[in-house]
Amino acid sequence: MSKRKLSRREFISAGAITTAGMLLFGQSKFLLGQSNTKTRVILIRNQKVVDAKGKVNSEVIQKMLDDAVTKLFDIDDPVKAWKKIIKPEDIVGIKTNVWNYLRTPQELEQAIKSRVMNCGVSDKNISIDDRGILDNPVFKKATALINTRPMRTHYWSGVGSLLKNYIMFAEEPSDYHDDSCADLAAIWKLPHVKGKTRLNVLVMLTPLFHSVGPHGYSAEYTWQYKGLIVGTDPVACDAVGLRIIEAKRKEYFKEDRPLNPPAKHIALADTRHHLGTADLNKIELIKLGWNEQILI
Amino acid sequence: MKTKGLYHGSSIKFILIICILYVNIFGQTEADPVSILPDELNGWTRSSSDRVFDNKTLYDYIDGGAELYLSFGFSKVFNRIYSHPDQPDIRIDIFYMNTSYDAFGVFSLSSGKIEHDYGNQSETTSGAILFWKDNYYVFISSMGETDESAKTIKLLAGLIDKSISQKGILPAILNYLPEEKLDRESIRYFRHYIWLNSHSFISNENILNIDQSTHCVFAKYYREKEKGLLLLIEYPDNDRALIGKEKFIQNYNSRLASSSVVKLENGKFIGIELFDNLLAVLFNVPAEKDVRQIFQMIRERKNNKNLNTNHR
Repeated sequence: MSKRKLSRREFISAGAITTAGMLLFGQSKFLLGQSNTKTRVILIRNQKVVDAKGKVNSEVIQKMLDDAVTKLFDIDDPVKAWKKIIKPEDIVGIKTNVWNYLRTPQELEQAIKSRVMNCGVSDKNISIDDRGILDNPVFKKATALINTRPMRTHYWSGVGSLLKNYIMFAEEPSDYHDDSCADLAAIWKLPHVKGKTRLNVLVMLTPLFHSVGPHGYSAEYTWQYKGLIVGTDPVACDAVGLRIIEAKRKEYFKEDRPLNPPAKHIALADTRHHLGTADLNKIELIKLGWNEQILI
Repeated sequence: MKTKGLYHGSSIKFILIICILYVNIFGQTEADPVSILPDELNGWTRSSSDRVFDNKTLYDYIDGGAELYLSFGFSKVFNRIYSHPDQPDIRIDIFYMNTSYDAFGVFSLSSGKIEHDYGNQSETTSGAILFWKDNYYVFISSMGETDESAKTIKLLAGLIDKSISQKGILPAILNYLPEEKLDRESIRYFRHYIWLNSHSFISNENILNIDQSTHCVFAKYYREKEKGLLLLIEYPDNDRALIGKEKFIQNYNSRLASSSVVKLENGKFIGIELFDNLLAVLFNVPAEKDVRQIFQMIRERKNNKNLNTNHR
């Protein structure tokens, strides 16, 4: 008897059951970074992480990730810190972003995968994917997700954010385009997504702070910020990244030039969808490493 | 019969000559800029089949930018990629916008600085040139820039620019912008409320009833080091303009219901004025007299029937 592939709808239903199980074990609040205390977000920068041509140093980015995760969970050893969020029996989907102008660096993808494997997860239970996630067998069975992407300006949603990175989990991504993508956070409540995200890594190595032309990209509007923003709350990480993008625009254009359209999906993820916090006053931002022109 | 035939033949020749003259004088058909694109240039050659996308397939082509074009209106976008064995690919996108207004609007919202090297307005950035001319919005780019790719992109931009004979016209609403102290680079034209926050946050909602039948323009005005912001909206008729004004006052600042100019807590002024079907709103203006002066200049321009609506 041949193995039958799960349909997209069945995949989504299966996700609902997994999520229900996770909720029983009470992890979701922690994983979404919501608590009565401030949400911790780590901003780490290193001058050597990219060279003048933009090539990423894999050793440096691994160390940045380790330093961020250990600080995030206040655990000295990076593997022990990862074990706080990943169990050996987990099936892990690493949701990356492959936009060809500014993709998640493969060096970072491998750094994440390496630490997930250090937690005892076998290679066959880990997958790195972007546009094929709904048909990816690992993502279909995933019990844990790691979310990573670069931040960039975006014509419709204001910025391409961690929140927006999950749009590929939607059966019809265009369903979330209304009102300049105001309700992207609703994707995070879909049964096959809810409660699974263990870590968010917003890539700020060479962010895009202004869009030009149909594809929105020009190297002229990127800069070597050389940072990563790491946290369990995607809304808080995005809010920090957004503040840096806005500050860079002000610095470059020498005047307030707000994002157009505004990245309202980040604020609404907090106020309307209660997914996390976008209020910088409620975020414990810990800055590590290179501090020059940090912009926040 | 012979005479009749000669007469008949002369008539045909006469009509043909008239037709040719008419076409030459009045009917200069626009050559499609795609037709002048070379198969090979500076070592770059066409690497694949050309592609054409319409408003239903644009999402398949552009990751994240489609809505900008859809919010104006276009018939198609042409895409060609040139490859070189030792150089980055060069990509050409030519958008066939519905009108020159649309091409100008897209450019005004998608450029970082305004130059005049190609078309009516252009921008040259690292690895890319974009410009608009007539109803065309053109973007030529490479993944990474070399001296050779930059040179070839410039050549292609020049070829396309030259092939478009008409300049097109700017939206007539721009004629109502007072020229004095106008920051020309700050002009943004749109017909969808989502672009209402082009210069400053105004609202996430459609509080001015903006739709495809309304022409909107934003521009900044200098006063020493400070800048005020002018929003003009031309509605199809006076009634809709009045409704738009009342909705704005209700949702943005109700104090404007009793006074057309209001001082804000930050010491700046906001003003609103209706000129028939033209609504003007001034934001963040340093002095009340500036608000009234700009409104007076708009009134004069609105009453001037001789304003040239052609390209300025």
